[in-house]
Amino acid sequence: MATTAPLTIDEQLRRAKARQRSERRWWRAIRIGCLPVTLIGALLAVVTVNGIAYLNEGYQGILLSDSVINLHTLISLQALFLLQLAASWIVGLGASILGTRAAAARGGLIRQRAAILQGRVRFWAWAILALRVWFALIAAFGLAWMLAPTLFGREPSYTMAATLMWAARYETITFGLALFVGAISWLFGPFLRLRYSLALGALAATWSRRADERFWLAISARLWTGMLGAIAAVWGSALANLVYFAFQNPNTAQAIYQSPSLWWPAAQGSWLWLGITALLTLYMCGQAFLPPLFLRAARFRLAHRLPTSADVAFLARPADSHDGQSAGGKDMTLETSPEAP
Amino acid sequence: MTPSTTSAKTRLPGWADPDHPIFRLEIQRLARNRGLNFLHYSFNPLIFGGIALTILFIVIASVSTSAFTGIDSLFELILAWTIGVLIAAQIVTGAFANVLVIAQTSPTISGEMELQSWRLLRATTLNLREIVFAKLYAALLNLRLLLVGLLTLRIVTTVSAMLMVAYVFLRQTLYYMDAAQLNEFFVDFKWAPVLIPAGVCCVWFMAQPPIQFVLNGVIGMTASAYSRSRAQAVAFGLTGRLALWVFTVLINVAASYALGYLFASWSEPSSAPIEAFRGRPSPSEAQILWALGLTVSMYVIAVLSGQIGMILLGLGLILRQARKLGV
Repeated sequence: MATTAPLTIDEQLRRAKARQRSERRWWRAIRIGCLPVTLIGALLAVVTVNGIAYLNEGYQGILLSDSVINLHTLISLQALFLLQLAASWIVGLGASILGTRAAAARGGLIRQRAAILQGRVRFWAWAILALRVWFALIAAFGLAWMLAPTLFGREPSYTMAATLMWAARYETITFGLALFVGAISWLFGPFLRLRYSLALGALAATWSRRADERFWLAISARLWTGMLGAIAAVWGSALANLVYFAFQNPNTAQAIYQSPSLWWPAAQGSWLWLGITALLTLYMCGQAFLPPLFLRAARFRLAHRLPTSADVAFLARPADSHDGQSAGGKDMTLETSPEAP
Repeated sequence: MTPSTTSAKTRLPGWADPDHPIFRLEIQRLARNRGLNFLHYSFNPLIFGGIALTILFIVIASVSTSAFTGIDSLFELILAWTIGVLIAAQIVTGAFANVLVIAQTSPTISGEMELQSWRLLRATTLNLREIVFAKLYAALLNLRLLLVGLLTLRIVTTVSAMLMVAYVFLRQTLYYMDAAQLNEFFVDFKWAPVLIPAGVCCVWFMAQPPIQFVLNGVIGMTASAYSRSRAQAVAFGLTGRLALWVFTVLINVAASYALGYLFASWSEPSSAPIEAFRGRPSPSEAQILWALGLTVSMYVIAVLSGQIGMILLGLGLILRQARKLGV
């Protein structure tokens, strides 16, 4: 087996610089290309699913009939929703992995590190926002199609349109509030998610000193919170439903729905919109207020971490033999941790 | 040494100290295994991500079909599917974790025998107990993320099942009670014979991941102590686990059948198959409920004690056999 001669210091430095240059170039390309690639990719996906649906339906002659427009609006909305969901998921994972870099040294500059890292990948959130705006535009067209039939010279004939008209007429305040909070959450969601995931990754990383472990811990934490959110939504709604059914037996309460008064259905609808508003507000508050707490907890954990025997051995070595590698972690180089001793 | 370091060290036994030489040796040996690390670290992301996606899918599918099933039963449908998926996930992940834990603890002593380093270890000032426990603790600690994942699954399943039971109880029982019956049910503690076994079963169910985790570790290490090579130990460990599983299933089926037989004879003495019960007076409904509840609770506690007993027995066997392996 052939052996290679060890690299000289100059050669190592030269290669490290070349690697850095290459990384920088890649990073710039990704930053510039992210938004156009996302939009073009989404456009291709939307066109593809619409094309497949159109060919499967086998319409002949009439291109702009009611059913064609309904179908394709719905399909486009579904495709865009799934795309932005997948993109948000990937961004959450990516940000949490990136967050592990913020949890370095003794945690003194963790906020600043997190802010810098967040700034570097904010273009991810802009790409998701672009998808969401696109979704909102198609949804607005769909709503106009349903709610303003005279605009398009047709009659309203949809259950959903009737439901929305009902809500707008009898539950104006609560419906408007839900719509407003929903819009805020929809537009600011990607940025809040980025910030939240990054802080969560930083906190998760404090449970290990090894770079490979930190990577998996960050991913686990992000997916764990995602699972917790899904479970909490199911449990919360099931519990609320259970409480409701404890006081309202559906087997015997049918008569209430036959009441000529509009008060009861309107009150029920208002509670539904209020519930949605409360859930969305809670979700946004969690995303907005938890990151500082996570970063504070991460800083506390880093500052109060017990030294292991490997750390003690590392610190006991002569100063000139500290080669930038911390005792237990590859990523804790002196370059990336300015406040390290 | 800082006070926090001192207090942390005084809480742990010597073999669980990160600076213990055997513990450190084992941790380093396991940390070098890249394949194992990958399996270990990717376990939880797969579980958490999988559950989140499955729940999302279940919710979307249930809401889409709620037009046919009715909105009243929507949440029951979601919960039922969620519980089904979670139980299936537990079976798969539990089996995977069992195999992984046994595979990691099996080479601990047999590997030393195979590499002829056991006598060197025994020649040190460390006593046998420390060597064995440090090895077992290191192997289990290195797989701790598996335990976290399994515990999470259990907690989620338990709470979902509790909600489902509450739904069924409300809609199948409470809806059909009038005010007097409801009052009697809540004020006269008629719920107690149902709630006590339910609580005990919950504790048993939740305790299973850590107990099975340690039990599998002990089985693997017992196989290790009785084998002369790593391959033999892994084979013995996995076979032993399977045999123990079959044995416990048979024992539990037999015990449940025997208890059910006795219970049926006692609760309906007029048609009891055992003659000794025939002349006895029939118990009241409340007595039957209490007897059933307490029998189930005691049975579950006996099973739990049996599992802990097996762990202690396994540890005793390991120490006994390891002592025979020579100094």
